[in-house]
Amino acid sequence: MDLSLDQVTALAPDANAAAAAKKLAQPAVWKNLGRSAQALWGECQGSALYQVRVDLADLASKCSCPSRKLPCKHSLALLYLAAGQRDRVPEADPPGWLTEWLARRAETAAKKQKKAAAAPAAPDPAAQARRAERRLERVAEGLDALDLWMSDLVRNGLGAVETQGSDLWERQAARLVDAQVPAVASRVRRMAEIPRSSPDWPQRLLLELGRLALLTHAFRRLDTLEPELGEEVRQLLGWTVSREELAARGERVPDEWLVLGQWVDEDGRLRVQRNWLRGTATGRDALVLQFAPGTGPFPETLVPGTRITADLAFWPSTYPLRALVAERRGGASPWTRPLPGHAGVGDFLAAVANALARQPWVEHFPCVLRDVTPAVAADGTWHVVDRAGESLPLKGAEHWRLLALSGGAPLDLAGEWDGDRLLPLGAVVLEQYEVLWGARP
Amino acid sequence: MSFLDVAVLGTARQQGETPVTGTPLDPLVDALALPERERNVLLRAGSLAVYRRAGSRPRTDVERPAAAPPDRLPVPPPAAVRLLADLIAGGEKDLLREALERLARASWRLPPVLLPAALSLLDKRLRGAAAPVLDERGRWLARFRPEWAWALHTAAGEPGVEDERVWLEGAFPERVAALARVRGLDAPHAREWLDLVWAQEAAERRADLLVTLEAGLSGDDEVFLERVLDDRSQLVRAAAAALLAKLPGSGLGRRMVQRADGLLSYSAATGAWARVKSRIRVAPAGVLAVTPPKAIDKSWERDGISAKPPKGLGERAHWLAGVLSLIPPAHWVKRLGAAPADLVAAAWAGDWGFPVTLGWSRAAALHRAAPWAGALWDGWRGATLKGMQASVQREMLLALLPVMARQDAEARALALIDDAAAAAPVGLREVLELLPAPWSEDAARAYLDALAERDTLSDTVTVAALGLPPTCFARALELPQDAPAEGGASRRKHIQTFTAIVELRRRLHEEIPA
Repeated sequence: MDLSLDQVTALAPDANAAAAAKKLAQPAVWKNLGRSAQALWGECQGSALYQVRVDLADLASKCSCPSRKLPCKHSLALLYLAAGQRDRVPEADPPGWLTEWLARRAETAAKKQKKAAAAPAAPDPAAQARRAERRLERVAEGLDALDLWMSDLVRNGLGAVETQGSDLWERQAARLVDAQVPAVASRVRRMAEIPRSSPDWPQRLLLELGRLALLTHAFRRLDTLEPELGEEVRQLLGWTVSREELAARGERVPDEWLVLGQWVDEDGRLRVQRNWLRGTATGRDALVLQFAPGTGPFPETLVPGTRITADLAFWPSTYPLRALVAERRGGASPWTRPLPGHAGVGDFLAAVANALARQPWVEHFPCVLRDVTPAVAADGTWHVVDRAGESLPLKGAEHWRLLALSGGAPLDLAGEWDGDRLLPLGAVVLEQYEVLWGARP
Repeated sequence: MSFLDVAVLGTARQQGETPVTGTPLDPLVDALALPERERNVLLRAGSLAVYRRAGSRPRTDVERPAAAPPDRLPVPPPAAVRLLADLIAGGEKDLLREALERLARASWRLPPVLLPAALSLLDKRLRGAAAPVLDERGRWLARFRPEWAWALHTAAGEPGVEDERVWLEGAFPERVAALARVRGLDAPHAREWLDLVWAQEAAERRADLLVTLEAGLSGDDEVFLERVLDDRSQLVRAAAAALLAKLPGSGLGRRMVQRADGLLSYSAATGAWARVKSRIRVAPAGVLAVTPPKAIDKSWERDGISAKPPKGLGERAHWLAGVLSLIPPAHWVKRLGAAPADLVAAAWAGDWGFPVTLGWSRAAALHRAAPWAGALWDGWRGATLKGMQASVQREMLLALLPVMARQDAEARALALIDDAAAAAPVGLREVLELLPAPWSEDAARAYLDALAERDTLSDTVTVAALGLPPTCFARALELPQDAPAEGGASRRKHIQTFTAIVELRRRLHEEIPA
């Protein structure tokens, strides 16, 4: 499979690793470079001679160097070489240390499969029921207190909030964490950024408080809601479905999934990778979130602009979006066709309205628009304009690569819509996918 | 008052009915029959939030830009694109320049995704190399940012209205660029433009503008330049004099020869023994008698020689050097009847060695007198000087190297590899940087031999990697990566830098044929 340079760079934990890897991507420092249908390998001369292996099925790598960054610069360098100079990494018989590694990986994967398939040990049902009841009580108390607090704010007028600083929000958030609804606590914390952020901030704050009130209202009527909506509300409050449970019992959708785009949120010491996927047969959308501490690797290697054959397991919802990769088969292949998406902005916004009708608290939507042209409006804001002349504003200050790719002609764009702005992630021009987010300017 | 404005005041201060949104949401919220007023407001606000999100309407007033005209050149194959992307993102400027030049010769254009980075290049030479490969899409894109305006006038053609506008109204650096461009297309036209504005330009600007006339210099320019010699600024007069000195048969040239011919005379050594001594370099081949001028008149100053000497040089020495610095050195071979090496040796043997060779060296650089450059260089190398004279010595060594014929320059540079200390006051790296690239195979091989054996060449690896001829790439890449006993990690790093650059160049030559 031919990865582009940008796609290999997207695998790097940070820009320094990518730069260091490029310096090593020269045959002069490598010995015994080779490839097979399954893997790439080679020995790299660093402070010692390191053995480097890459499994082509999922781009996992292993190197004998002591670096804690994964993938390490040697593995990345091997990928750059394979991507940029195929002939320097010739087909060859794999050495023993490579076949051993592949064998061990297969063993570990088989063991994991067995463990997932096996029924989890049934915990003591009585204790479970007691814990669940206690939790429900605490949540109900916590949300009652929250409602009183919100009503107070509305009674006294939100203007008064301006002088109170972030303490006001922090204290309430802390109480909500104690009440075991951490997701609600996060919502309250985020509201701290609204005061003073624009001239109409009090109105915006009321709208956000209102959305939260809808959630507590829904909680009180949990039993009357349809099961998926009820599940959704529970998750929005902070009840989680574990990944194991999900892989075993969540809705499974097998398909060839196109990775539309990806961006990484650096949230302190934790990196969150947001991947938007679209099923080419089912037309389903999925958001696969992955987490990595510091400079560590993400569990699955997902490359924007490629297609993978996989089973995704969806979290239960009336508008299922969040999913994880339950099983993956084969490697990834590049996508060289137009993007499957909406013909115009109007169609897309109608789809958004339908989604909100099913689940009113959705924050982010996958957006794929066909035949749109990037443009700078008279007021300096960036937009993409469809054939009917309707446009959506873009997130971010400048989009020169996108403009250069278009040259004033329409292209297909994939991105993430947050209700206000579209974050461009990738574009298809002349049957070639170009990564937009995180690529060099 | 609108529904959301209740947020600011608060319901406590609200009289009368609960405010409503005036949308289909109102009956739905009313049907909940909530007892508490605040809760009513909150749920109404929450529903309104979802309502608005679901009902957002797009703008219809944003205009699409006019499409770029179709490009004329094809894009390079994917491997070349990957290489270009790497080079443009970071790395040696010289490598990028080489890549862009090859791209132009191959008649390929830059792929669209690399255009923003190319347009954002700041280096003048890189911009010059990028201009031919921007094609229509690149020039179209350049219109969107003032920082990219440099790319707008890169299409070939006649001097146009745009050039004239920039010349008359632009910022100074752009004016110089416009004038230089027009000088390249129609030399007399450019001189006429300069003549028209001459009186209004400030003195420092005039000297910079005169430099553009060096390209396409011809006898037609003499009348204008002679007039410039009447300028009040010595800087400007000196610049004009340098240009006039390059015109064969110019009035200034004749005046200089008239002044200088009486100052130097040479008598070859007589006798077989003297000739032997000179051949084995124990003594110079003859005697150079030097009589520096005792005084100068206004006509000397008009011709660019300042009356007041710079610090560290006496009046007579300064005037001597000044008059010699404009005369083509070939004149002395004819007039004094001796070869450059003999004349230089004789000069250093006498009392006025410094000013005479200074004058000859400046003249050699001005007139690109390759046969003299080697001899003058060797003379400077051999001299022991201090203070101001030592800095002039360094300046001359660096100025004379690019004037030499290739073999002479390479021979002297390679001699420094063996004895870096003897290169002082110039460094080996500086000298290597001045060699014309690509180096000859012999020079390259000699360097590679030295690099394999020594550790003292670490600061020269980048310039060497950029200067190697393509036929030596394979050999350079075979350099052992393992470090010899001394040197260790730092040596390995330098060898890696070296082979990384050579490898990039190898790929460049493979992917972009030219």
